[in-house]
Amino acid sequence: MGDGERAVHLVTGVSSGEGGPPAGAEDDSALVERVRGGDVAAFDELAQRHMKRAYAVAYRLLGHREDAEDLVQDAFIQALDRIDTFEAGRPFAPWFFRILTNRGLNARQSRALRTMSELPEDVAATTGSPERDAERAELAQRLRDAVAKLPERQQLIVQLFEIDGWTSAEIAATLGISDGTVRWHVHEARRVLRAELEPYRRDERGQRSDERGAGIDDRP
Amino acid sequence: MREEQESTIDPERDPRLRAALADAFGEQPRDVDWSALAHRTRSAALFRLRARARQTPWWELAGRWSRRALPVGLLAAAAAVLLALFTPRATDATPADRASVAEIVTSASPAQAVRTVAASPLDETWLWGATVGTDAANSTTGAQ
Repeated sequence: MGDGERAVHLVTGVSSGEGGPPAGAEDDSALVERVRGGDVAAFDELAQRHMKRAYAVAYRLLGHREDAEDLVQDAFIQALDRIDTFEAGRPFAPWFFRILTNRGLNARQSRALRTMSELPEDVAATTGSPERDAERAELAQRLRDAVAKLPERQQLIVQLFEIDGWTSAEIAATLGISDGTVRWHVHEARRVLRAELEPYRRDERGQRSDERGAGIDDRP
Repeated sequence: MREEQESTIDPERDPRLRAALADAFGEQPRDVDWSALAHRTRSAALFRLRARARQTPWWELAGRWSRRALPVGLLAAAAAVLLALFTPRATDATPADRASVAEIVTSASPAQAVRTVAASPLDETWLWGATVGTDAANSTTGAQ
């Protein structure tokens, strides 16, 4: 795991085992039963258990911190409203995250302009060279456009996997799909995104591959 | 590529792709106030949770707590039984008590006699026994 990935794990608290009950604690199903009866402490515990992971997904869906917070809160309230439809004995996380992603995708459609106009600080950071900054901004825009063309679920998966460093098992458990499906999405997304990156690949002299001529591949 | 897709382990991380994507989409915020988020989520849910609690029938609440309440109840019952077995009964009549009651009954001034033995513990069976005899008392209370 790289430094960036480790940093994200520390920030979001998302790592293997996160989201499950601590040793000796009630499992999610037992908490859900209590929440059905209006138990505030059980709701708190359930929310606490899934909040960081929910925020990470919400942020990747909306790309905006306040919107992500709103989405997390909204998803928990929606889950509470629908708690009677939750089947006892089934895992809570995929059920809850289906609610969250559906709400998030709906919200994204209505907030698309705002999301694109408020990019995070680290995206706007400069390198010191105007030429490089321009190139970097161009690449970032191309990647955003390329990702936007991917299927919605694939967009989320590739960001969680590539940027946030989640494993395919973590993504699978969260979204309620198989590890193999996650890996397939990652593979498909990489194929598209690497093609977008290719013109920006530089050789040892700092020359871009699209400036050297076609057909040159400096990949190891 | 095909191996990457079919493998049962995760594809190798690609630092260059990661850096480019992080540049395009940003890192996760590092300073989220989790307690504030938890608090506002709880506040938003409180009304609904209270409504649910009001609608919950008592037997569901009892059922929910029975797993914890049952052992506690059994322990309390066992403790009560032990306490009852090993605590001397305050109503056991001694010969002195019997004499006191006999004195009240035969006394010319029963009120005065009652006052003198007021501190003594009494119950109905014992009073009958002391007054009319144990056998008669037993047959009387048994008949009731």
